[in-house]
Amino acid sequence: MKYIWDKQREEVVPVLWPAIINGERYVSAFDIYPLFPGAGMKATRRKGSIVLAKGELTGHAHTLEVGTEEISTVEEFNGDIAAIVLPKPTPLVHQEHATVEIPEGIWLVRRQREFWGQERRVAD
Amino acid sequence: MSRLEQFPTGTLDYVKNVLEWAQDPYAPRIMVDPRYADKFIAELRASVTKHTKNAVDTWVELLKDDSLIRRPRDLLRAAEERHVLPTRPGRFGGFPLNSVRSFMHGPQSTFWFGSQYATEWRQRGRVHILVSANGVMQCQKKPEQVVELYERFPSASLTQEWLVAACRKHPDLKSHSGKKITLKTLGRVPNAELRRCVVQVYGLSLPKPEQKDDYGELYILDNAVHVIHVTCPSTGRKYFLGVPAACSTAREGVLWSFGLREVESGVQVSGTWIRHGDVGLIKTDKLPGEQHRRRPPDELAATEFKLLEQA
Repeated sequence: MKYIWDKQREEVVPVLWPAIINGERYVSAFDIYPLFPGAGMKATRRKGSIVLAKGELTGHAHTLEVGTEEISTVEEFNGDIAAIVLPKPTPLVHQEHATVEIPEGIWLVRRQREFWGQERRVAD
Repeated sequence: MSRLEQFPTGTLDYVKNVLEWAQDPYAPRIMVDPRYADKFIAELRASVTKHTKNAVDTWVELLKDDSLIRRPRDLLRAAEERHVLPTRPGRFGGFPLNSVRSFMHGPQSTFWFGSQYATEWRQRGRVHILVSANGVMQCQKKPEQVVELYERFPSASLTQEWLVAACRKHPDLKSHSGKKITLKTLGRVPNAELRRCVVQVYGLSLPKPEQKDDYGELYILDNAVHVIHVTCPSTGRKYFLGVPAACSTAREGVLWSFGLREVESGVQVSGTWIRHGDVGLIKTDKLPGEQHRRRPPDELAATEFKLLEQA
């Protein structure tokens, strides 16, 4: 949830953005191809949560709140992709972005990248 | 001299003074998002001195109790209810409410408006520092001072003010003449968030967009690089991202940035992907095979290059 300061009301009000972008709205079918070497995808297992990415400047993290049950598994492939098996719908939280409920199943996780003459990971 | 000017503009001292002011109903308010409260409290405790201990305890108590982000006056009221702060002098600017005179004059009286009580009351309601999920949201300090504040209290996250200040402090941009930034200069700013702010601070001279779609606009930088200006779906902010020239639309650029490539429908299993800021989650039926796992990095790049050429 994002908050802004409403000057007139003199209080903090939540701003609601579209919470979820469903891929099917945009991509009917897609092919996954490997990212550049050293894309730096690393899913870190924490107590009760999986940290998918942490902002370098902001310190904010995309975190899957898997709860205390140690059922969901994380596997890393070549450092550009992490595969996560979720046994049940799991909230994906971030300090700035709206929380998204990730349905159960196998998910491949990727960091966004960019290209300015050279490929690099998008940092925030 | 106003009360504010009496205090040093440094960071820790400022906050300490603010905390000492907690005993004073005219003190500026610090508001902390409950999600950051614990961390902020820890930092406060670390900075505690003999003189500020009581004040810190008071604030900690308030922060723990209040599960909502509150307006300054709400916070003050909460303090009064718990008798941790002295009750404010009266509802009408320091005039005792239960006295006969205040009852007679009331809020409409000319006695109150324009008086020193009224002025103080207005000052009291002001938020001087507001720390929340988005960091400092309202601050009457200069940008440099805000930066210092954040160096002391990292739990307060990045904000517009911080970013603006960071831009002005950034080594590449410090000597910036104030001219508008070009797309080429923009590529040198390493951080997407910072880049967004640089654009806001200095402005950007943009050529005409080459292509436009639901995702955003695409600009041509040179033969190798295209730049897309796209919206992050969950924060609503617009970012500039560089993509290879093989991407001819903004949509292709976004897909490329997540390592996805659109194929003709029916060829591949139609899938779902969820975007959460700079993290993309792609639904699959099975885990990637051993082959994917073992392929050396160089080969990965070569394969990808081929795919891009085809696209």
